[in-house]
Amino acid sequence: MLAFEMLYRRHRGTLYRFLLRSLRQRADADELFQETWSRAIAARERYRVEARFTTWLLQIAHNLVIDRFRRSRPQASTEEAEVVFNQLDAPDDERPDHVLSEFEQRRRLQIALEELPEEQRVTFLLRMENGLGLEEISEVTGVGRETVKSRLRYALARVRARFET
Amino acid sequence: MSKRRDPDEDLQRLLDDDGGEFGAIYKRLSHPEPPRRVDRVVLANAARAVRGDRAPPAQRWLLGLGSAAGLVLAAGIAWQVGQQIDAQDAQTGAPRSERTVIPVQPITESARTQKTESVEAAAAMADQESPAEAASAKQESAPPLRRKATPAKPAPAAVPPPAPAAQAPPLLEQRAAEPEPPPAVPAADAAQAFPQETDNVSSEAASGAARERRDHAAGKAVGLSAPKAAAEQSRAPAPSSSVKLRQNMHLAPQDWLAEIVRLKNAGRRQEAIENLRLFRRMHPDWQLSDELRRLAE
Repeated sequence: MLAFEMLYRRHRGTLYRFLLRSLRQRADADELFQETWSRAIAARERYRVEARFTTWLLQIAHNLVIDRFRRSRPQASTEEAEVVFNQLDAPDDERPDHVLSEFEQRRRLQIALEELPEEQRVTFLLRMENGLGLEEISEVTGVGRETVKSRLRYALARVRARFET
Repeated sequence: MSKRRDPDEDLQRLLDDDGGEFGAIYKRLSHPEPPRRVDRVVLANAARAVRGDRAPPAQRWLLGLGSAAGLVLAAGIAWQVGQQIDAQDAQTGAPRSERTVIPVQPITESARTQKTESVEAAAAMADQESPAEAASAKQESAPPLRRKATPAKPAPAAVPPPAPAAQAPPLLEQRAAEPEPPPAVPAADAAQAFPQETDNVSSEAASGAARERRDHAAGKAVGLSAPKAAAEQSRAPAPSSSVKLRQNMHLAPQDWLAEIVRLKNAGRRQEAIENLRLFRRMHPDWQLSDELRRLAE
């Protein structure tokens, strides 16, 4: 039990923030946070030691998030993101960290994250919040490495677009 | 001046250790954490799961085994008890149905004595009126259960004298060992007991026999409780010999009266009175002398 508590305290924050920013609703985040840990406890015998625990835990959480997305609303179209991506055209001296105040920067990033299509948002969060590399994100999300890269590119373009408007 | 950004460069910066420009901004975002209640729920679930793991499946198996063993033990005990009861039945020879009904009659010594006294009084009164009634009164006064248990049979001609009080065993043992007191015998039974005397006054004979058995019962009481019986004997009139009385019944009236006078003069007044009462019942029209009339009164 002590080992579990240590594990829980180490991962609870990052897992919760990943869920909260993915789902954008605190109630949903609370619910899926509990559900993620319940499934982790129930499936602990299937946990392979060679796998990284963070990856395994996030895999469970990601599956839950995707299920919730599918039940709640249709995904944003990729074409929409492509349009945003193509509109990116910003000068170097207008980089967001130079132009906007710190509060505004945080606010815009927050808004940008919320507006991201779900798959891109999740991928972006797995990188930003959990520090996963391409391979790990690919493992968690169950998609190919290039797909991960593509999603990250689109996500970056959208975020930047939010900062340059 | 503006220039188009390279998405691969942006991606590479994002994948760098610091996460690039947006990585820095992201790190400054708030760090919400799960509520405490969620923490408690998760940790409680984990603790419950750990406790569930600690309970080995063998414990359930042991529980079932223990229950089965208890059932077997209970069945064995029940079988053993049943065997013992059957063995007791075989020894006593009594069927189980008889054993299940236990007649209980609470009789204390004082109640028994009172009963005997009341029977004596009723019989003495009935002796003066009707011997048959006296016999029936005695029969009714007998305990019903005992009457059922011991069928009416002729009283023994010779009753062994009761054991002396000094040699008597303890009261409980003696009670258990002693036979049932002889039941009150109806007049017909008394006639069978004394067939040679039934020609003339069978009812009188029955009365006498009943009295004799009563006397025997009184003797039993002496055996049971000597001081008490002695006190009863001191209170009651001295019993006369019924055999002698029956013999006098066969005398001629004059001879019987002469015998009565002889008994009176010999100091056997009670015996004389009993003879005189019986004489007056058998010969109600006989004129008695003044002396005998005073004795009768």
